[in-house]
Amino acid sequence: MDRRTLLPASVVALLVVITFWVLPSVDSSVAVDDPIKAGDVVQVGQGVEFDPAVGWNLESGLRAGTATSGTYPDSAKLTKDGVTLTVTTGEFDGTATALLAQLRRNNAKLGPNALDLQSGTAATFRTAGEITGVVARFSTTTAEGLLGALVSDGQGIEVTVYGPAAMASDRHLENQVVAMLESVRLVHGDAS
Amino acid sequence: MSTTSTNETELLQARDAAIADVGWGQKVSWLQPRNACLWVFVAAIAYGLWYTVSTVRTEAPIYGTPLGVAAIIFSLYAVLFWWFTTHIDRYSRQPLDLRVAAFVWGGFGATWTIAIHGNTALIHLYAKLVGPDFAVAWGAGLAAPFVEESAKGAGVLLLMFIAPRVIRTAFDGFVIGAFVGLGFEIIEDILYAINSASANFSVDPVGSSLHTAVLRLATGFTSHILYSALVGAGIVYLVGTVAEKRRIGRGVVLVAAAVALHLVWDSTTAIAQGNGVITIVLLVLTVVAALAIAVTVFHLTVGTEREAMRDLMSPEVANGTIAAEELDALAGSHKERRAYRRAGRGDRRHRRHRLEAAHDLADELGRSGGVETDRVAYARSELARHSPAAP
Repeated sequence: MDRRTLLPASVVALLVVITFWVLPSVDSSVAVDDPIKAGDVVQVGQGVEFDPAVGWNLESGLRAGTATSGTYPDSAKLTKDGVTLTVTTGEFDGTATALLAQLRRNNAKLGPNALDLQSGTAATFRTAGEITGVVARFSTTTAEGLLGALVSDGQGIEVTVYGPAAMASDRHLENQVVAMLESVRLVHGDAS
Repeated sequence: MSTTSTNETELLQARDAAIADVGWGQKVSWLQPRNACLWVFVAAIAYGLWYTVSTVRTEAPIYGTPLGVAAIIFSLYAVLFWWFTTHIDRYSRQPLDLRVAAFVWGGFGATWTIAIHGNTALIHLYAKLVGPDFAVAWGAGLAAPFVEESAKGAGVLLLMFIAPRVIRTAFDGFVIGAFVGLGFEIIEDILYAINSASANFSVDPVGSSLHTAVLRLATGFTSHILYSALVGAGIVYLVGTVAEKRRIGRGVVLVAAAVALHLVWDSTTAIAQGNGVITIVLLVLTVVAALAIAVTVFHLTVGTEREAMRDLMSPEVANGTIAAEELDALAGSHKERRAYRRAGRGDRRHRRHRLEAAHDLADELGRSGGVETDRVAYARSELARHSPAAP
């Protein structure tokens, strides 16, 4: 090798090693440790919030009133004992049933990675904040969960829950998920 | 008589020195198996291309239409800025293959091999170690400027050692950096457009992508292209070349300026603490500051190239091929060239062609190392063909 080229090549190779391997490895080794405490409220986007269950881990997303930039991510993710609950919001001009159909269409486009969402029968429910939603259960050989769709004032809300196949048999977990689902509401007034 | 000969000899020596210093007309050899920089360059781009193909294969079945629309829009955008960046490189122009290599590094090496992994990991770590609010507000601003400017600057550094006889001046670094930034900008914009296709539950993926595309088009001209140009010039100053002595202070200031502009740009809502008016004021101020810094650095770095053009073409004034005012225009700024053309009044077309032909002659002289070749003779004949006296 041409010796003059070794130092700049090494500098760039080191940069690649740090960004490609070192930083992602450090990231993987540090677990998210942000447990929900009593009274915490999670805000999704500028217009939706819900009451997360105590003890769940806030993997991504922000608690209401904590966004110093004034911007809340459009999605929040909570986990507990292998179960993941994700709440996503966006504009939607239609009914909760139409939103659920849209979510199923989106899922179907995933091809081999798609979940079997067609099997679940949709049931209607109403949250404490008077938002009408529909929810459908789904299951695979290794996982099960539910897909919820809520719409109010042009605001669509998607709630996805999935976890190990035995998830539904854990009544405590099931009750926590239902409580979170029913606590979904629109933020009125200042969204900060 | 002897004084005239001495002057001619001195002018020709100055020409030879200019050609040797700035590497005028030199070509890039891509067959350098002993060049470690070339291997790193190729490996990083190869991974980036593989990553791109994998991503497109995954995304195309879901977001094929927005992907196609974004690719077309940003390809047109790339053509516009390719022309602009080529246009400002008007002295010892960078060869096409080097510009393409810089663009490809920016688009595939810097983005997929370095930036996306580093940015993602850093933002996650900010969330875990400092807090999710901090990561949402400051994560992008404290990750992207450092990771992305390093990634793009790495391309300029590698190309300096792949083409050491071509990249000789800070202005060369400025231009090559701009092409790296252009490649990065285009691919990043397409990625942003695709990511936004899933917004609002993918009801209108094309509309969501177009919305993002318009925002990126409106702000792109002062972001990656400009930042990378500053970093490129800074790296040439930091490394030093035959034509550009090492100036560590100046190099550090240029790289730091690019990082600072990028940081403020990515953190405007956090700095403004969500205040919309302050955010807009900050964005406007950042654009103005970025343009002012870029113009200053352009004038700071272009001097070496203009002096080289003057040294290269001064013998042509002495032998009567071009006039002194043409040399002033040729080695001058945009204003001086425009003044030369306008001074011709009804002869502007001839004057424009004369300048282009004189530039071609400069390139041929650079390629031949100042030796009179058939191509040099042809370039001279073209100049004569565009003389004011010609029909």
